[in-house]
Amino acid sequence: MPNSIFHRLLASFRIELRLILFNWVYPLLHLLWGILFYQLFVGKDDRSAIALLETTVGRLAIGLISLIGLFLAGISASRSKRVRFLELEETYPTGFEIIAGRWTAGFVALLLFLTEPILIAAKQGPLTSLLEGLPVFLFEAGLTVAFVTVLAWVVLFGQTFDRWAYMILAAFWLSFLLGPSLLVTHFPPASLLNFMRQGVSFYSDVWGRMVYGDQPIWFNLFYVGMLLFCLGLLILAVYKRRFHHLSRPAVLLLLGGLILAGWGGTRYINTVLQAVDSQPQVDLLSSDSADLGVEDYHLVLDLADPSVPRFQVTVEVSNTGEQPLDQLIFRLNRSFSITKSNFQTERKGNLIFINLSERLLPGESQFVILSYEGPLRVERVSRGVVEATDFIDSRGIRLTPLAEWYPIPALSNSAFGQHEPAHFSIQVVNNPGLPLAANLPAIGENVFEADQVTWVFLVASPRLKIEQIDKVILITARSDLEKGRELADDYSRALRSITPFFPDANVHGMILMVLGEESGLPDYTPPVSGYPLVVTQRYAKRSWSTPDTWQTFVTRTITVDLWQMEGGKLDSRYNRPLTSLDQAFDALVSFLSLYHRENGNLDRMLAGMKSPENLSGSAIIDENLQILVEIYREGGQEAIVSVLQKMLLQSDELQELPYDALPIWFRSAWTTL
Amino acid sequence: MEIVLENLTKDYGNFRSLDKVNLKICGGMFGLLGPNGAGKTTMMRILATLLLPTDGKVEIGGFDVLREGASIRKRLGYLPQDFGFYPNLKVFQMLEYIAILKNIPPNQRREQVDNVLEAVNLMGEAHRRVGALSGGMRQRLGIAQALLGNPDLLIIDEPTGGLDPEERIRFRNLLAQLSKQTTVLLSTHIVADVEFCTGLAVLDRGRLIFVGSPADLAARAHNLVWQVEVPIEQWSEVDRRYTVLATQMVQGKVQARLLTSNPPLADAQPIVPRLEDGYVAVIQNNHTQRGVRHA
Repeated sequence: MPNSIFHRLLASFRIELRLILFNWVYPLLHLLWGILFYQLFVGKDDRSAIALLETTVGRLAIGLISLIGLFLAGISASRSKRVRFLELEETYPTGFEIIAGRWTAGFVALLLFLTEPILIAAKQGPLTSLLEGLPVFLFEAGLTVAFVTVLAWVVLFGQTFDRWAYMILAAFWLSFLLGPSLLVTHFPPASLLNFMRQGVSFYSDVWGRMVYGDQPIWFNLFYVGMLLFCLGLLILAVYKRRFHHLSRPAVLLLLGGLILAGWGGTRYINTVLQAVDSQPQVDLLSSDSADLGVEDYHLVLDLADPSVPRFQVTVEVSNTGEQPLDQLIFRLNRSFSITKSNFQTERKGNLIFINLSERLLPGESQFVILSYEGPLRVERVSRGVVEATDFIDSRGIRLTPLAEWYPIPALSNSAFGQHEPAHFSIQVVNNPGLPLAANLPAIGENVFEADQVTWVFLVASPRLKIEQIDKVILITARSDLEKGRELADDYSRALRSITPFFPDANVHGMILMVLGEESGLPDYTPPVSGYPLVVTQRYAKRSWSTPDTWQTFVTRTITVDLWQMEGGKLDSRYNRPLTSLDQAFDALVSFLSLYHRENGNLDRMLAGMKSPENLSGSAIIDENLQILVEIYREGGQEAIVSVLQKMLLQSDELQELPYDALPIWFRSAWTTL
Repeated sequence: MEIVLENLTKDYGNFRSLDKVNLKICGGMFGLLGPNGAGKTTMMRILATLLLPTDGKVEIGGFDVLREGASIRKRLGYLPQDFGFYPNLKVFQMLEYIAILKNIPPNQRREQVDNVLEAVNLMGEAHRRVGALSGGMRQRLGIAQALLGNPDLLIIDEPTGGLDPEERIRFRNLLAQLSKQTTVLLSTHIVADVEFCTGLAVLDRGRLIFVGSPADLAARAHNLVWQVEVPIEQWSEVDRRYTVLATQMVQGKVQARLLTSNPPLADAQPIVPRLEDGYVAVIQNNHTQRGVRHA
């Protein structure tokens, strides 16, 4: 008997699939589908294959297939009635298997619409990324399509299906496309209704779904439950109509689906509500530690139990003011509880008050030793979707300054997570085998150390790749490695060209983090001593219209860091000096860019200076650039270094200088040295 | 295959389509006659397990239609009044698909499909798309699908409407032949279709008003059928006063068969009633009785 049921299911499947695929609309739809995806994505979205499947390409595909699925299910469900075969069909000795076969055929026909998005992702590559993303994409797209189509079958089974019903299906689709987006502003868990998965547009190639925690699991569980529930309903409807009694397996399926959906849905809603409730709270200071300086951090992070990481930090603090200090105030994430300290501590939210046993006199320093531990997961809710910005777990680590994961002097007017430049060392022990990286250079296995550190960004993930390319330490996701290498090559060549102009920067290398997202990081990511730092995306290069503009951007990025490493000041809003110093800095960037592009060849530089690229700026900048090129012609690299040194030394004077006096200042800066 | 109907009642809202119908069909070819709206199709659909009765009991071959519909469907061939097929499939594909649905073993499928195509004279159209068939051919395909699986019970509702005379005769002969092994239940309002039936029932306004053989039905008009010849100018008066069964023009006069208990005209000749005369007599008698009851 089961064999004959299977044969009937197969026959029904084959006939329905044949009727769908051989209808002229189906290939036409595929053609339009292919054109749409080709036009929208090929050569326009430079993310990895898995990122495409997780975001733009994947979401559009799932959303549109849902719409097609509703129509297709409507066509399948009404086919027998439409052609007046139903009356015959229902007298044959069949059961649910006929409906199941038809539904499966529609499902398979719809899954074939995933071919185009997958091909686009495959074209994007790399293959490993595609292979990693494909199972999840197929599962989630399949689940969505299965749910949508079975829902349409449930609604339409046994109903009189006129053409206007398609309008209702389209309205249903539209309401679930737009409705959750509108509802989430008032009730974030409404994102659960977004069965087409349109809520998420962000994807991290480094951490993947770690960012979303268990949320996708509960979401999927809810829809698996809904799918089973709807299947149960459909079987019940078939049995009621054909056999006039209830089907026990269908009732069990229905109840099981309901339990799964209830469980998944409840957990999903709780997850979102918890994230909403745990939004970062800022504890205001009644008085701050304006006179508290930090000289040295020595931090040990113990990952023996990644769910409860343990920290031990030794901070050398100093009194930089004129009054003695008897209390030190630090910020530390409220998730951590202090287990040990060499001084008495008090906790108030994310503030720690350290009561010194002896007053810290002006100019004196003191060591504060703190041990603290606790699970860390900082989440935010964006369009009803929970995204973690900072976390430590066995699958990965992302720690930005915003998470306040080590004690930072609490200053009421300072940027969160940043502190005065200090020596910093961090050692990660009992690492569960995760590749680790930071914005600090590694001095050993899982040990990072640098001077002039104002913030620390620690990352770990099985997908993380760290490569040394020339002087550049490339830190990127496995799937972004090829693109990262390309960027590293550009930055490496630019660094080699420009570094000689900044002899006091003492450059040992460069840290290039191609991570794909920078949330929680300080603006313009200040460098540490000896290592310019660039945090960027794999598609950074594509966003520049020409190779020259890209090179200028690279040159500027490195120059900004080298300038700071030589002690130059930058405006915090624009990441460059202002007034005439700004003009001088721009001229310097233009010169270095030209120098780098033409490999220091004077003739080519002179010719290149007249190119449209360089003429596009204002006349003043052109004149400044011209003067710098002349200085280079007359005095070579050393002359430029001299000018640069004077710019650093006389920054204040440059700020007061009228713009039109700048060329003369350049000239005098060289000749007077 | 025995069919037993006990107090079969079917209501559509306030409208009673079948009213306590009791009937026992013991096999052979059984005809169900009745005017449009008599409840024939409702009864057919109940027997074909498509509709549930409101009240009463129906058993087919010992299987209860309410609880054992699946067992009945295994033994059933059904041709409804209004049906269609997937127009994009070819005739043989459609029948092979139906053969699978009817659980015909794989090794017999092709042979059975060929046999039914042969039986309904559609072999030459086997590779044509169903959508390209004429109305008559589609009707024959409907008959073919009903025959697939050699059912124990064939329920056929108004089958000959779309057939040409030659096909109609062929079809009747086919049914007569099939009824030797299969119970054939034929519903129609065309009296000629049931002439070969072994049993008959007449249904009118949801009630069974006759059960018997075709000869019994014809006998219901015994001594009630008269043949008259009337000048054409007097015809309208005759037509108004009597139930006219048939007319034809003979030498400028209207030759008519009239249904009445007394000689309608002085020169009226009593004639042997036909089946359709009996049918009209039964229907008219029922209407008269109802009229008396209502009065």
